[in-house]
Amino acid sequence: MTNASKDMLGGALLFAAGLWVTLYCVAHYDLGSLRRMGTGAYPALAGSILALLGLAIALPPLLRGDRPTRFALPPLQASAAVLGAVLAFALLVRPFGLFPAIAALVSLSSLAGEERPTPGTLAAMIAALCLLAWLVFGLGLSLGLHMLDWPW
Amino acid sequence: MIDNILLGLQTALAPVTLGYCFLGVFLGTLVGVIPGIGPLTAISMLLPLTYHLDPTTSLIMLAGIWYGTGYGGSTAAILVNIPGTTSSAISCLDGHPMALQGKGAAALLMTSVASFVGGVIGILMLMAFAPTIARYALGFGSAEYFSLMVLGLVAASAVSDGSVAKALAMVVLGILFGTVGIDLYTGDERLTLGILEMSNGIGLVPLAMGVFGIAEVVSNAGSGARRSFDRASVSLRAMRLPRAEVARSILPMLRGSGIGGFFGALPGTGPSVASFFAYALEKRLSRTPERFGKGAIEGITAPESANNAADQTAFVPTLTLGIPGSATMALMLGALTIHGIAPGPKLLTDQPMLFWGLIMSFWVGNLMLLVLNIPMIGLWVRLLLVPNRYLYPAILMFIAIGTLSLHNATFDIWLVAGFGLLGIVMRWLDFPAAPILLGFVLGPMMEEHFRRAMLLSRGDPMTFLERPVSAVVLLVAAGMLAMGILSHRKARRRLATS
Repeated sequence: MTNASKDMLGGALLFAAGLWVTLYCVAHYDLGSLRRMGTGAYPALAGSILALLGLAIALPPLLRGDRPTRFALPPLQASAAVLGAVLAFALLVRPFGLFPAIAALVSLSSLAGEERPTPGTLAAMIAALCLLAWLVFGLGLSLGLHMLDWPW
Repeated sequence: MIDNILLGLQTALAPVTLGYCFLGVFLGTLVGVIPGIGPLTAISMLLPLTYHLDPTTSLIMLAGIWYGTGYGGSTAAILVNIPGTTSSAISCLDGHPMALQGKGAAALLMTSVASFVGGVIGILMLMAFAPTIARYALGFGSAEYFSLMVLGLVAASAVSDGSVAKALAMVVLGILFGTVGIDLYTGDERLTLGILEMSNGIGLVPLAMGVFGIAEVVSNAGSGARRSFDRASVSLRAMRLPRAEVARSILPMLRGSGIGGFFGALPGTGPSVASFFAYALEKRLSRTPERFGKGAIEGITAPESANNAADQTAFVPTLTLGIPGSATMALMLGALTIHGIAPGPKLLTDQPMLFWGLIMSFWVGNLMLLVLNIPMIGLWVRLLLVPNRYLYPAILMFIAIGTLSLHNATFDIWLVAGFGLLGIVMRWLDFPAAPILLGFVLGPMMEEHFRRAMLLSRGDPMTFLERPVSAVVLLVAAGMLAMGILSHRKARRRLATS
């Protein structure tokens, strides 16, 4: 039963997150009184509710006698490719400008699926998307983004 | 009333507004057709563009995307049996068999008509009820608002398919993300982890783009399923309004619109619930229920008019109380607050141009969709055939540049990646993502009302139960919570015994 294992893991993560927020708020912020609530009161309250809900998710399958089993991992390759593409864009866009950032984003994200585009298709896609970005964000909205830049 | 309608028409028919309304419904249909990209992703992707528009125009465009996806989603459902949006999932049941029987064009045509009828009835209900509710709500204090928001969050969690505890936990997680930044009462920083950029709080756009956009791209990029169907069945020549099916659809469309209008206005239930309910009702009322699932026209027209009516009435609680019933409406609310407009009962009197302009634009937008959808079906069909590997880099690019264009801050893109990771993990562990957005938007408002109510009652939490309206609302919330838990239990037990 993979669902029970997922609930146990997810519930445990939420419990840990809620507990951490609650303790952090109690330690760092003023809680105040009910009448005049301090900075940390509301997040501490929300954090403790989150911890309780985490328990309510993780415990029932444990009490029913289910034990954690192995279950399929998330799509690692697609996740890494897509997140990497976004991060590469964030790193490149300021020093080098929009076009190199788009090229990196498209190249990396094309690694997400099973089928890879050929270098020719990839180049065409990059060119088309750069043109689109220039039309929408450069001309249309004039956001003041640099298309090409050179930091040195 | 007449004055307001005229004012609204004047706003909605201005050339600039017309243009953005068209852009909204066009983009909405476009993303509705693409499977996997729902209205939430589409609206969060285009939210940055609206920063540069005035509030009325931006809301008209965003709303156009919202009800446009309803039209587009059914196209994908009927032709290739993949629902473009969850609210059109039910149309697969009878729509796809019709397409297989070579009646795809008729099904699409009737869908457009049904969606239009639903939209029109939904708008009429919105116009009838919104002013009344707003007038009543003017007397509400902080305690009432807090309780109403609790009801909204609980209702959204209780009707969601899946565990109530999971949905509630996601709501609370959203509330926690909403507390990051400067505390308005004391001016102190909260949960910023010492990061300078975090003191302004977490943005709605990076959160929505990460949790929905990135997660959807990841989960769809891997699946390279080829989509194919019979092209001849949707040729323009096949587009004739079949008289028998029109006659058989009139009552189901009216019933569907009524159901949709009702469920749309309730917190928590939305177009998806409405369309499922409308389908179930038609099947029960039908003298020939065995036709359902094999291409019965009522099986498309009733749910399609229901989800479109619900799309319109969903604006009732959002605009009159400032309490969104769904994550999409939370985004609409976010778009308003970004422009410094506080939705609530005063919106109708303070911003009549915005309110009535928006409503009148619904007429315009629905009419555009009816007229445009039929000749454009060929275009949507071709779009459906584009493989994911070409589509998703483009979507990713719009996410990245859109986020950047908000405040021209690279930090926001880092946030998108971070929330993207969260979204991926949540999908992997089967936790729903939409409640996070609801909690994120409502959380800060709830805190404000809670603290103000506590201040007014001198620290006595009984104030929520002593004020009659607030007490009744909380009681309803408790009832919904209990019902949600019980029905989930029952469903699981049935699963265990079978």
